[in-house]
Amino acid sequence: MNDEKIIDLFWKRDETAIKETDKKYGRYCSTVSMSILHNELDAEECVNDAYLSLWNSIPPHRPQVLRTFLGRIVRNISINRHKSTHRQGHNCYMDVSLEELMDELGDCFPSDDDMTNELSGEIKEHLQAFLREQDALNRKLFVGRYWHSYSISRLSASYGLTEGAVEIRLRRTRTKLKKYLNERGISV
Amino acid sequence: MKKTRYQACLLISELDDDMILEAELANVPMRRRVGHVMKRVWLIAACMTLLATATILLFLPAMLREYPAPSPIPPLTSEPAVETPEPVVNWVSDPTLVRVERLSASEAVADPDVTEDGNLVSVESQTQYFANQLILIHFSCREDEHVMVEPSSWRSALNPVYLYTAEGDGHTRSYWRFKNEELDGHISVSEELEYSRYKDYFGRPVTVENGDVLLWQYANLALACMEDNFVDFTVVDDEGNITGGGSIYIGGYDLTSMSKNKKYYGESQYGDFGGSFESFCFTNAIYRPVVLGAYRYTNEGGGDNEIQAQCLKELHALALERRESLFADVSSELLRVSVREALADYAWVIGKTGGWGLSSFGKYQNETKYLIMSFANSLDPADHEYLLFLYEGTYRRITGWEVHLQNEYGGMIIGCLYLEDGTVVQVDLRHADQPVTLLPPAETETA
Repeated sequence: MNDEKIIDLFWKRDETAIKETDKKYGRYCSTVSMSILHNELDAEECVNDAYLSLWNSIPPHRPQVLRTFLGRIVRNISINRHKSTHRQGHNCYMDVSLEELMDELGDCFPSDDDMTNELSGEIKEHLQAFLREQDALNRKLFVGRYWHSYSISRLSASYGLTEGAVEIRLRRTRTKLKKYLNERGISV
Repeated sequence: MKKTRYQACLLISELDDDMILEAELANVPMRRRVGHVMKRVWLIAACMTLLATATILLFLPAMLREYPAPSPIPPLTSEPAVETPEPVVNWVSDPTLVRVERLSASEAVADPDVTEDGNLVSVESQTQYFANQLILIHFSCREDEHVMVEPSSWRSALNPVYLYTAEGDGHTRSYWRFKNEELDGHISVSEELEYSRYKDYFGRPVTVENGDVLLWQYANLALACMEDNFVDFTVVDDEGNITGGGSIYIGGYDLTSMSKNKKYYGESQYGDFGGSFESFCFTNAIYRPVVLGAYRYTNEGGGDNEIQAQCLKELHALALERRESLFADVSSELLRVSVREALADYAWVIGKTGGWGLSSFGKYQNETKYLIMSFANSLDPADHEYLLFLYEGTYRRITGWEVHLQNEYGGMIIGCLYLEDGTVVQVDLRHADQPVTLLPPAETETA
């Protein structure tokens, strides 16, 4: 079933919308969640939560691209889940990758303690604009690494670069982002 | 305590759809899990092998004593036949996967509002560009699949791709959508179609869902007509497995009309062709959208993507071979002889020299009536075997010329050409209204 029809089902409050969404994007959602949580049970829960959230979001929303709309929800829920399990002292998961990502992002983003809602909104705008200005490859690498949580080796294999080259490009992009934000009054 | 950056991760979640999609790689979540299982399998297999080896080594002396070595094998009189394993072909041809069609100018442009501003290039006659070069590509993938369409080279990437859906609205940065499924006169072209804006998107794959139609627009015909004008596509299911793919050739040529287009890419936008030379575009190219191959993997939903990608390359190689046959029915014998080389050399001549001698003059507007085509393989004036003169649709070989006044590039301003049938073409480019005069063989003697 295509996305338009699925969204229509949501708008009609037809519960088969969830079933169809799961059929079409279930694996995709699991992948997104697993890349953050590395735990199947938690990922499954997050995906289910995401479906509920999707159910509550449509209507009023009518997403242009259901795949990314849903992916975004799953990702946010998974990140929050990761955060809460850490707070509770559950540190038994293979959560190295999100830690790694957060470490890397430390180069260019303020920590949670320093992040206010206002600042967050401001950075969001600047981040979009900054990425638009980057060349396609660097943008893909950045989004691939920090949105999709791809490993350096996977990115290098996919784009025909050495792992070192990927790391250098990512580091340069982060450095540029930091500078970009600094120039706009956001110090990291 | 270590500072966390969950908020940063959440911020990144909010990136625009197109950025997320463009960065998404074919993802195979199961593969990772399968990988873990495979590691264990390999470990067990390795242990078993070690055990077996140890056992054999332990009992080998006793076995050798019990079974003495056989007599030596007599030498073979001829070389033993080497068995070549049959190549594994795991895809099958699927002609229903994709079909292409061409829209003529009259079909495509019903909208009188498609003006100069809406065109990719703000030079005269560009409406015709917009009008003529519309190729629709229909894919018939399953609902759980999508198609990744990629230009096979930067040349074909020069032609922007538009995703054209039933109820699409607006546009994203990875493609633009037209509003109506039928080309019913409501084509709207956003300002973002300016070349300078979309040039950043070269090489970006476009994702097509089932039922969508790709609208392939030719913007740069001079390059598009020459070579490497392939579109590769890969069918990918929701799990990221390649389930099919193929290659399309979209191109063609018709040398009966050319247009000089200085502004378009005469401003060193492209390194390879950089410079202030004048470039040329074919305005009435005859397009030959041909599906060179469309196939599905027989092991749908699984298999090794690397092997499948290799198959895609092989298919593309087959496509390259097939391309030659596309030109078989070209009317001009001379063109048929070496069209590829000729066109490539023509580009080279123009590009490298800024217009070499005879090849650079003429009135390259839509009302073109004559044109010099230099199909020489080098810049050696003696090598003019393929130097043609086109006049009102007829090609004639140029057998010689005289240059009485030349421009800074060595191009002819005043001079004459000698054609194979005895016709003499008098050239005087100072007269824009009548730059060439043909003196037929009969008049030549008296001239």
